[in-house]
Amino acid sequence: MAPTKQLARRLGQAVVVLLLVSVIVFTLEHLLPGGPARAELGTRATPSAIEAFNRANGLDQPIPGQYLNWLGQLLQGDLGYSYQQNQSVNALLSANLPKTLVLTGTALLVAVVLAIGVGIAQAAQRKRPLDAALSGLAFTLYSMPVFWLALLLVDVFAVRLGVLPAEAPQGDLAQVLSHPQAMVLPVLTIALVTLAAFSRYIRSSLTDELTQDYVRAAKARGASRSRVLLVHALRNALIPVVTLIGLSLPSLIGGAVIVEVVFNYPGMGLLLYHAALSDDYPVLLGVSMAVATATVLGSFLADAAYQLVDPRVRSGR
Amino acid sequence: MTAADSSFVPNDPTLAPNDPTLAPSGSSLAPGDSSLGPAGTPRPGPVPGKAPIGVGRALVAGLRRNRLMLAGLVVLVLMVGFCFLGPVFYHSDQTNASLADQTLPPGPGHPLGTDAVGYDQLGRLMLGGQSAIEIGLGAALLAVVLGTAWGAVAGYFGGAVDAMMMRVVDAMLAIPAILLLLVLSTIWHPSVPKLIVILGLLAWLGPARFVRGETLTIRVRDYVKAARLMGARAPRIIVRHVLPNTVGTIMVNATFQVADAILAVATLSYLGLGLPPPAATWGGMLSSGLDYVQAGYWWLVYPPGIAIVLVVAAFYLIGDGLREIFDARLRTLR
Repeated sequence: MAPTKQLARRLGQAVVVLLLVSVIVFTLEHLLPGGPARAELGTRATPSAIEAFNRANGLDQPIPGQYLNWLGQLLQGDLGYSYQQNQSVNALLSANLPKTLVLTGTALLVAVVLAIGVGIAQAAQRKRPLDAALSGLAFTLYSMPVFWLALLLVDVFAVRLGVLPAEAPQGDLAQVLSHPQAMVLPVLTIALVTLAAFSRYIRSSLTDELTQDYVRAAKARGASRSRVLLVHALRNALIPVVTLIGLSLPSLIGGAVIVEVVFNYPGMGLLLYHAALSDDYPVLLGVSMAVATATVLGSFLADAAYQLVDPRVRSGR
Repeated sequence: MTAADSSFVPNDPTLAPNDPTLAPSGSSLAPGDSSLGPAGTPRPGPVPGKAPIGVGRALVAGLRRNRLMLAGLVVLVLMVGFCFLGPVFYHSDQTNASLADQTLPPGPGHPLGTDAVGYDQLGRLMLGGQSAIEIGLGAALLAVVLGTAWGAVAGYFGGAVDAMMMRVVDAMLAIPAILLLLVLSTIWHPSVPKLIVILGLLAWLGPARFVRGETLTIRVRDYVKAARLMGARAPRIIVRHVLPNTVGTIMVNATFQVADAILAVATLSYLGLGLPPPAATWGGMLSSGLDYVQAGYWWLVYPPGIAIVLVVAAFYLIGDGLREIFDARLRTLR
């Protein structure tokens, strides 16, 4: 299949997936007990007050009608109005998204750079003590509950050493950025967990490349060990990293829910968490749709980027 | 995802380390990794051309070769013994809180101290492990059964059926896992069986993708065509010819699923959506220990976390080992 035609097909699939996502998300939210009227007005609200609230918010209509209304507004870029926070969902998203991007973007960058370094070190030292030690470390990190890792970092750096704050910076983006120290632990937590997964891929893809014929040919031509590793093998070994980064897009947008909850970082993850606990449907729907869109877009972009960087895929092998 | 999508990767079925689409063959962490030998070195194990060996013998041979997998198995057996047989030998009261004994440091009578309401920490660790292992195994079983059925049907029929079924999988993968977890555990007040269903409903997407991928390649094989020509119908072909050939993928994935489910259930407990008290859970123990980090009560913060890491790592090691074994076995089958 021609590459463009294939991409067009993938795009069509992405649209179908997003429609399905909207149906599932909408249905899920309306399964939540209590309903928004109770959550908003409290347990002592009179039935007539609840009825009025439901009528004002269109919640008295049949569910399919509510879905179509919501979808229509969604397509116009209107995500509705938060029941709890007295702000439009669009405003909440645009306030929280940049903060999450700062957190997850920095962490992703740190993780990718470290993972490439670790992967190279491991491939160069394959089956020596350093390789085993780094593998063991990555493996342990990978087996840890993220919130516990965060807890350990707080215990060591905030409580015992007292060098870093245990809580993330609060307020708007400018305030967050003015406290870089408070960002260290949240960023480190996400970076470490991501690093654990990424370095596995880089190590094994680099080790795989080192067994290829072109590497042997380069060695035969007299290229040095480090040149073979860093110039010849690394370029090809990094191709899977493109996919990994593409697949990270949802977390980039959606934030790291657990880490944001542990450090009380005011990003998308915390917004989602609080919205779910307080039955704030419009916010839940908005954040979920934003993250789902990022997910679908991310895997589409990863596919497209893959075609760009890997000629074997481009030519359809 | 997983479930707890608290990092970029873990628990995300699309990106799990056992993802055959991403990982170059034999992406293992083992220093004694047999599948990554330098080019030209003959791999240990079955020689191509010989009759394929059975699953059982391949397991024994693999265990003998892969010491990390053996270590994983030993740790797992020890932990299961600790959690399920431990309470037989070590008695502690885990139903009546004893506020007079709260947050005692480790000492005589309480080898690992007591928690905030005076429960003995060591005994609680055993009980917490029981629920974690039960839920992990149950959720993995449910996820693998559901996912395998879904993936095999989609892959076997192909075309429009496949497209529809896989778009559902894509859509569910795109929804933040934490949202599904939050909604489902708010609707159902958690108990062990309900948590198994909740986590299973979330985790079947990964195996569905893997099994569908394998089925796509199996359904065009000659033996499937032959079966079809002999008049076998779809259910029979799927059960008798397709599924047995995906057993390697399924077993490897199931092992990773147990680890992922144990991590996910710990995270749920941390978020306050796990088993309600007084039930003991590792995640819940950690969550209440969180309040005492500042106070330096290490016995509330470290033991449950270490227990989780041990069990999860054991399952990952076993899964890695299984993958190597089945890779080797597949090579001889070809």
